[in-house]
Amino acid sequence: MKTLIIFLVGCLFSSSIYCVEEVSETLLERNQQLLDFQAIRDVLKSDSLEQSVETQKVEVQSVKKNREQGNKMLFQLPSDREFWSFFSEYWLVKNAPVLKYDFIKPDYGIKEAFKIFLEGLGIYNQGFRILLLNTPAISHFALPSNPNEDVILILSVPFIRALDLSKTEISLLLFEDYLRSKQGYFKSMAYIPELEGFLGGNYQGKTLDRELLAKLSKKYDEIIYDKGFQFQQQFEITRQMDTRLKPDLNLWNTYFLLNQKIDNLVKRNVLYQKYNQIYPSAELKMNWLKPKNSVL
Amino acid sequence: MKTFLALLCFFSLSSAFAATVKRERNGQAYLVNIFGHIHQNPTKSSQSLTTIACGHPLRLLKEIAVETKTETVLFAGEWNLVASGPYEGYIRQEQLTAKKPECFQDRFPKFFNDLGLEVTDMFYWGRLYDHYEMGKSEQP
Repeated sequence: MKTLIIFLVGCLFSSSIYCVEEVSETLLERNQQLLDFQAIRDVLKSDSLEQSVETQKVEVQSVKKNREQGNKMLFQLPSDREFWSFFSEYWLVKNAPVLKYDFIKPDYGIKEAFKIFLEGLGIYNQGFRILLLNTPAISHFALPSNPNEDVILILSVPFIRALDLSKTEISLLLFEDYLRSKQGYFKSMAYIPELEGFLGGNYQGKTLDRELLAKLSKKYDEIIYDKGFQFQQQFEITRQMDTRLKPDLNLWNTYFLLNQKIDNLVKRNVLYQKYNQIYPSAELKMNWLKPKNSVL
Repeated sequence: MKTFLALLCFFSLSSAFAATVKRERNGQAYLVNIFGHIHQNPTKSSQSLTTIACGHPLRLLKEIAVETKTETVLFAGEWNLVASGPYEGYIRQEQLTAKKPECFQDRFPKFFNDLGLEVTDMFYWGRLYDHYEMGKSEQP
């Protein structure tokens, strides 16, 4: 009896085991089939999924390249055409306590007078920015500016008061500075060799060369307070003024007398004794302007 | 009694004046220069309420008289009444533009940042543009 029961149970188990083996795969086998890409490769190909993966790769590369380019552009330095107006204003700002341009003053009408003066000489579409200073340390100057942008002119109020200048005389003084600016004298004297690699460059991965900017600022100080312009440069400017003003003898006369005024001021006023060092010299200019005596 | 009457007159007058002008929004503008100032009054030497940078958006305001409904024009349009945050003040028309400008700070952001400008520098830079006499010769 016992033997029969064991035999029957054994048959039952063997039949059930046989059924399980036939019906189910293991989870592992099923997963392995899913990971077997070779089996579904043809399906993917026919669905163009491989192609879209390639397209996406190219797009991602392009986005990455643009992002890197954008990050690099953040460190771009201004070029020669964009730098000078900015740096001249930077110098003015850094020297604000010395230059004293933030002061209350009346409207002298210089802007309108200079505008009419330029138009009278046939110089059109020329923008300018005149900054009045409340210091005798600087008489007048044209700071470097970007090509085809406003010319930056600085003018001392104590200087024009000491000379008691009229609007025409002030315009003549500013026009001389304008011509110096167009000739590029200040820029060429202030130029440092290291600027060549600096302007228009990119400093990603490095620190900004602030020492270079400090050097350039010192050059500005040297030219404006100490060295000024050379005799040859002054001669060239006087010659240009003579040529441009000769058609209007009243204006030419005013210019001649202005130089006389400046010469007198420089000789008697201690505050302006350095003027001839910066703009040599009013007396010489009058000699250059005087018509030559010729014996016929 | 006298003090009471004086105070009564003062308050009644001030309440009468308070209702004469109202300010309305009149569009938007942006600062064109590297830095600028919003002034307390429409004069160059007036106290600065705040310093703003290039591209800063400003709400343009107009003052309208309540009774006559006419707009106040400041110095023949040379000055604009503007608002920025809690500040309402004046700024010169030549320092504003209708569209957001391409600022030097935006073209060279790291260079400008690394200059390490102090608050005083920004203040003086704004004052520089207040004091410039800007002009341009024109063709006949």
